[in-house]
Amino acid sequence: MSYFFKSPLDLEIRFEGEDSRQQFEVKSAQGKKDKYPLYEDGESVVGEVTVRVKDGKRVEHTGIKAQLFGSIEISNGQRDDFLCLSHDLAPPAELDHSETYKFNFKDVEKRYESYKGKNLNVSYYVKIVIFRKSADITKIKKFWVNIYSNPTDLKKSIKLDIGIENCLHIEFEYSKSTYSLKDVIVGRIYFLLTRLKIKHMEISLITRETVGVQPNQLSDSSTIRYEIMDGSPVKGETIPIRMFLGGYELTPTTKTNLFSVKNYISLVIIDEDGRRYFKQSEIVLFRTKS
Amino acid sequence: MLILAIGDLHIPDRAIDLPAKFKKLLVPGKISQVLCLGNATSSPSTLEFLKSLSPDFQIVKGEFDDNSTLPLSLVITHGSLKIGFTNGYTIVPRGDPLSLLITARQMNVDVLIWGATHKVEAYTLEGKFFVNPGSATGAFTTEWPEIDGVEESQSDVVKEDTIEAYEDSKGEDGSKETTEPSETAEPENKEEEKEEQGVKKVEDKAIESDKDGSDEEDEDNDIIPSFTLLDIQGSVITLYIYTYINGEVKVDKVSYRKNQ
Amino acid sequence: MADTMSTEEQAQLLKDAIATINSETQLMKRCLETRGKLMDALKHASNFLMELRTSQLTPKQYYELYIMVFDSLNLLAGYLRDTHPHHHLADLYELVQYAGNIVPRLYLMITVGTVYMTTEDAPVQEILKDMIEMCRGVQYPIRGLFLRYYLQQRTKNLLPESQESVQFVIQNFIEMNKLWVRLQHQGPSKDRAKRTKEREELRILVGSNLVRLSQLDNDKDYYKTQILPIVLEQIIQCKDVLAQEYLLDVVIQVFPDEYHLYTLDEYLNCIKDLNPNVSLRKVLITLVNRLTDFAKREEINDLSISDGTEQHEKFKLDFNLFDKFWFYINELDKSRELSIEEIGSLLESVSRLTLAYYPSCYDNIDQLFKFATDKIKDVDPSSTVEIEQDFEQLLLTPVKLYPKLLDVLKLSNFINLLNSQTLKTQKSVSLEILNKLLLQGIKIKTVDDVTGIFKLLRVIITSVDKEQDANGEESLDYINEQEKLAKLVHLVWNKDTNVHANLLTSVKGVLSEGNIRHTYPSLFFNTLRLARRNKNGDLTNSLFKFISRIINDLYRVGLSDLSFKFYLSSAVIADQIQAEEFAYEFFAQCFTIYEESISDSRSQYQAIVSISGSLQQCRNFSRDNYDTLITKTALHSSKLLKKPDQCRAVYLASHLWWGVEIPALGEEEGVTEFYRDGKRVLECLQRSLRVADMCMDSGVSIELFVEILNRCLYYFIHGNESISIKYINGLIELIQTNIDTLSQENSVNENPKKHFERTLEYITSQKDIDDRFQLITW
Repeated sequence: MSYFFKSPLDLEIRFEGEDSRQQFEVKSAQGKKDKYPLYEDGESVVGEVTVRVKDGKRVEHTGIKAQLFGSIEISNGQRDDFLCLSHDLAPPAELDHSETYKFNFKDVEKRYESYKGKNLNVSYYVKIVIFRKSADITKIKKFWVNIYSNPTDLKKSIKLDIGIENCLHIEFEYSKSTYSLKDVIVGRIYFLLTRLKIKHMEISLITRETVGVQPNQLSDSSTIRYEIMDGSPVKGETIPIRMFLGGYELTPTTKTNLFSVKNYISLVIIDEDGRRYFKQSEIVLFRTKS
Repeated sequence: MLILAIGDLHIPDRAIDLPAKFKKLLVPGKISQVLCLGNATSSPSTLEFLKSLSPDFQIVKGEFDDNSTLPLSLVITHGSLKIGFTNGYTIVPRGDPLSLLITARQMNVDVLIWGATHKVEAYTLEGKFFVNPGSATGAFTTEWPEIDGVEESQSDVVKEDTIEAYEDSKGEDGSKETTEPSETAEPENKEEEKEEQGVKKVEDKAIESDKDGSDEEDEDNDIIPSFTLLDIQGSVITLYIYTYINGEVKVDKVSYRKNQ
Repeated sequence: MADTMSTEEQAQLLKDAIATINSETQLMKRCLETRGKLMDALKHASNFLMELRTSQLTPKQYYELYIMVFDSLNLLAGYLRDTHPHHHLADLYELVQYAGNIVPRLYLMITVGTVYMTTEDAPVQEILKDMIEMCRGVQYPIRGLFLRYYLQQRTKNLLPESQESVQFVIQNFIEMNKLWVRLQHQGPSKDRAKRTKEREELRILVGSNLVRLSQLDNDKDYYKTQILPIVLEQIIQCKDVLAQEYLLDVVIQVFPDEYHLYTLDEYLNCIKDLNPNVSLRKVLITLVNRLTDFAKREEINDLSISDGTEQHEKFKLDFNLFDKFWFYINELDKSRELSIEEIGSLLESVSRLTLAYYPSCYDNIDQLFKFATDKIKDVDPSSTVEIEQDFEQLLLTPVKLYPKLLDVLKLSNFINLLNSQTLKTQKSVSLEILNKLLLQGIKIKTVDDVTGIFKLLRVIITSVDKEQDANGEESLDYINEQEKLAKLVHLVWNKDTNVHANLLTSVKGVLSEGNIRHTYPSLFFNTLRLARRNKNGDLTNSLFKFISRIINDLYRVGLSDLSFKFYLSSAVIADQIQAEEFAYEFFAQCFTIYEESISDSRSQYQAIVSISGSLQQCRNFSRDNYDTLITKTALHSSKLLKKPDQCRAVYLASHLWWGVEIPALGEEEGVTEFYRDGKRVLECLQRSLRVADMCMDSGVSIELFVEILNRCLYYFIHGNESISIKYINGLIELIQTNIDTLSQENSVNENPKKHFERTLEYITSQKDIDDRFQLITW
């Protein structure tokens, strides 16, 4: 846009301490890695914007504002700004030299994690607007938000009794229902009865995002597969499960009015004839600090 | 060439077997001819053993050989040497040197090998060589047993003959009168032989210990098992006399040279 | 499973897999050599490890891949070891676990984990525990076996000396055994045999754990309480015949014998819980053999003698080994009804055992033999060759192992068990006993021993030659057996002549049931020896009567020639021991047989010459008796059918009137007074000369003349004055005239002529020595 209407002003937004701040890497659609400064919920977003006037021109404006947005964009074009803060940086004036303004959004409540999904993005950015009688001049700068939590009911082990009558009976046990993203899933499968000729068995981690409400709901999922057993065990055999999560790009479980990201653990048994048997149950993933 | 003269085994009627140490010495391959003096046919396996020692096997009839087709005596020729052999039970008086001389003259032989007495002997008389290999099993005989005190002087006589005959033929190493078996008949087997003897000694010991406290050494049979090997080189015969005394094989050497 | 593929397809698959492993290994190596490319190296490792996921190859082919992979992973491990702590191994251990497939993941984990273990302060036990736990994920038998074998190989030299290490190896063993056993039950049942074969090929993987276990430092008590029970439990639990037989064998082979002695109860107890199809032979005999060899190695003499010597200080058992085995044999019999096959081999091995540890405890063996006898009662011992052989071996055990074979007689059940066997077994056992008796050459000195031994040999004594041919020619086997019996008789001996005589009576009683033609001759000579040795007149009488009976029996079965010779031998011995009446009687018997039964002219000649030779050496006859006997001999000589025989027999008989020295008796010419009658000698020679002259063949006549001339010279040398110079010169002239006559006819036989010439040469040579010869002229 600014290509066609060459802006008379240069805007440069810098977050305070940007160089030393933790960055968050996100894979872009092109496979490139984008880096964003990382913020957390309740943290102030402070910075400055430098406005440079080109070629000694004078630029008249009707005021400068700093805005902070949190928004959800859906692939169908729908968009919802769940967060919008703003404050003035300067009253109307004429600029004939470069000027730097500070902005400071204090203790911003950030409800959601930044998220880049298939049908949905959750993004945060600071937007600087210079109001003019003609076209306004704007500049935005994205930052990334991680929401950390620390649930308390972690210790509860989950035991699922799964069976196909007269054919298979197993106990699927894993340590808990809630995992931090750097956690490790530990569990075991205990075979009480097995008449299946099992070829192998795997654990799948499924991440499912859902946007909107029926009938216009959009949903998508991605799966990580992890083989935990090769061959067919006999009755009484216990197969250990251990799956490190830290190495995968996972999303904490999120639920809003508009969308949700849910995680499931799924036990999949494939028999020698290629039939698949599975049992899926939800686990909650959360992000912990560091 | 080596000729084995052996006889009067009397297996199984009078003896169980040859001494094991004899059997170890008697192996096929080295002996060119076997002259068997009879009393050896009652045991097929023993006869087979003797026949196995050389493809050239000759046998004369002994008093206790049932086979009436066997000759009473035979003459063999090796170069200029004529060797006669007979069991001798039809010679009267038995074992008498003059009778034997008559027999040798009749057979026109330089060497007469005879048996039946179960007593090993070798001597030269009137230019002829007389050899009795004795009984290879030390079999019982109905001959008069040696009475005490006689035996020693008798063996002295044999020895005198031995030395005389020996010096006749070979001068310089005449001092070597008695030699080990391993150095003479079976030179190639020297090492092996000694080992075997070592092993055998242990076995003997075990059996001896079984006999401890018994009085079985007090035997009523004083016949010494023996056989002889004739090593013929031209007109010279080196006779090796193998005897089995107190569990050991002893070898004596006697030489004879035919006067041309 | 590999069932669906053809061999060609499998070979191609193997080829492809090998190619992949090779190329991925090369790529991995290149990455390892480049800084910062460890992740890529791991990726390539993971790639070649994918080849181990195959289910299509045979165990041998899979093993080929395994070996290649092992070498490649060795490179990786070497690199990790060298570059530590550059790459933090704990992190790496976690990192490799992201591998999505379990087989590559576990191989990588073990590779990294075992390198990690070598680093300082590494949590060794936790790593071990983690690796072995995670291996549970591979349940596919062949892949699981190789994976765990890899774990075992990799940790081999890293296990600290601790109980955890022992438990680690045991656990791996248990899991591997389960996989191995499970392999049997995979796939269609028609391939059972094929799978059994595959399992045979794989068994060493399982067994290697037990080998490893034995190499760890375990004390006896720990073995007894913590190792063996768990191992045995697993072996029992798996219920698999192949596994039970193989693994028990390995247990016995790899652990020290002292441990086995210490844990006998555990081991033997386990046996009754095994699969009934397990061969007791396999699982027990190895143990017994080991223990038996151990006794030999440790030179354990005889634990049944507690004499407190140094030997017994060295080795002690606080229980009775035999009793223990005996107890368990009975237990086993109760719990699984031992088959007769099992009993045979089991008892055989236990008998060897007790002979090694308690050689002088005859009751032990006897107990086993009684057990065997009771068991075989209801069975046909010939029902299978194996049973026959097993029981034969059982019977042979004491025969072979008793240093004194006669101790076999102390086993009262031996004969019962022997008699319950097939004739074939009985015979081969009897023959073995016989052979060993002969080999050992141990004298049989009591009547009980004679009775006992010959009872054991009864089957040989009474055996009949079934292969005798139409002409009555006996088979060689039969002759050889009978020959051995004959030899055995020579071992019957006692210093006390009375006892010795009793022994011979017993022997005769036993042998009379068999073929006396073969056995009586040696009985005869044994008796004759005794007769010469004996100094007791009463015994002499009974011995010579005994001898008469022996000869009579032989004569009755048609052996007249032999009987003649035996009488002659007896006569000579009787003369030697001055039993004149017997000597005379025996000579008389000789004449009787000669007259009645010896008809062949050649035999007659030899017989009569034998009599001459024997009589000539007799020394103890009265004049009258001697005259009677020698006159009869001369008479018989002159009655021979053929003239040459007659002639020779007569001139030989001349010696009966001319005694000469017998050196053995110390006699000496000129000192000893000999029985001599020169005139009778001359008479004999004259008679023989007449006979010679009557021969139709002049050549024969001349030969006989020359022979007589030689006899004359013999007597001339001996100073028989009846043989005068005149007589000799006359004889020489006679011979010369005959030769001349014949040569005019041009029919002279060269041989007698030459014999004559040699004789003349001899005379000439004697002229130098003996002046008397000067007078002999021609």
